[in-house]
Amino acid sequence: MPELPAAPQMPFFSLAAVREEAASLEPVVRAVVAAVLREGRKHPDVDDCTNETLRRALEGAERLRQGEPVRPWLVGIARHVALDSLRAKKRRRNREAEAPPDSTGDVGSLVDKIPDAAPSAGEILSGKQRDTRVREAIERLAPVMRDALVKFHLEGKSYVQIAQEMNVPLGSVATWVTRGRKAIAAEIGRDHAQDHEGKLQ
Amino acid sequence: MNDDPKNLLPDALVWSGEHLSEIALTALGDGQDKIIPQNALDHAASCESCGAAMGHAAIASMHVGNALRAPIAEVTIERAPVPWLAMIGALVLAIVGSAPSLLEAPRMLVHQMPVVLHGANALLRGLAGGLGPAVNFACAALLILAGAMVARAMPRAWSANKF
Repeated sequence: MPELPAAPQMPFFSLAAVREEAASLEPVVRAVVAAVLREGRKHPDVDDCTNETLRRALEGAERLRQGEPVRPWLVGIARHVALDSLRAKKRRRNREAEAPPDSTGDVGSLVDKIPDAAPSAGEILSGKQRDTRVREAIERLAPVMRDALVKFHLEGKSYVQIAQEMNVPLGSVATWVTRGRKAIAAEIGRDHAQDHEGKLQ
Repeated sequence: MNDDPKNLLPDALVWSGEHLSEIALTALGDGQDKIIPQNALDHAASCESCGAAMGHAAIASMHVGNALRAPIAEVTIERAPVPWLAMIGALVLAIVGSAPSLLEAPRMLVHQMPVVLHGANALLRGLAGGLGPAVNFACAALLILAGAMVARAMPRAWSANKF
């Protein structure tokens, strides 16, 4: 089985450019949030999460690792913000359904109810396992599909550049990327079911 | 937007009935807006169904990209080296510590002989009466051996050096 190439090192990037790119990706952020929340793109919750995502991205641009592309980083923030919003909603519903708190002053039980925004050990492990499974699925793809995905994700090339490099029509590249990702999605579908985000496209 | 028709996806690949095709949605999720015709971009901006699908496509793209960029997890199990030096040191210490007792050994042997003979007699009688006690002894010895093997085989550290 062929080995996937390592991610290349990118040249120095400027924070201003990152912030500018993040702001220009507002429609994508909105689409991601709407997809996770299962609401329309003009829903107030989607507005809130979109604004929160962009705020976090602009404030946390320094944390973007050198060479890391902005778009998936921002999509990741949007997904987390939307999932956090869903969890907060669920907690609110649970609190409302619960009986009023007793007057025993049990500090331990109150502390237990404070939400922890950091990912749990289970979430981190699940993410690592998913990465491993995705890589295994990519390695099993047909060579042309794998090449197209590697050139897009690792080498940062556009579909047009990939088509020129592989000397194939643009439609072929788009089809390979779509089919390749569908094949991967079929393998990690269970993870997405757990995320309550619906199926991968 | 790119006006060169050579760099645009053909309509047959862009549309699936009234909505955008999976290919077009994947391209949009990948940020390849330049290869999508303007009427399809307008549709994506106004259609909630295609917007949600585009959001899912962007998430899928992120997952695949992250997995490809993630360093490969290399889990190695390091076997603990046998502590020969400590073992030899302990053995020497034990011998030195037991030297006075060894000097007393002949006298003690004579003194303890009735107990040894009684024990041997009991063992022989047990063996003659059946294999039960022998099986007990063998099981105990095996258990001790298994414990030692498990202790030896246990990894000292799991290093996930690239996580």
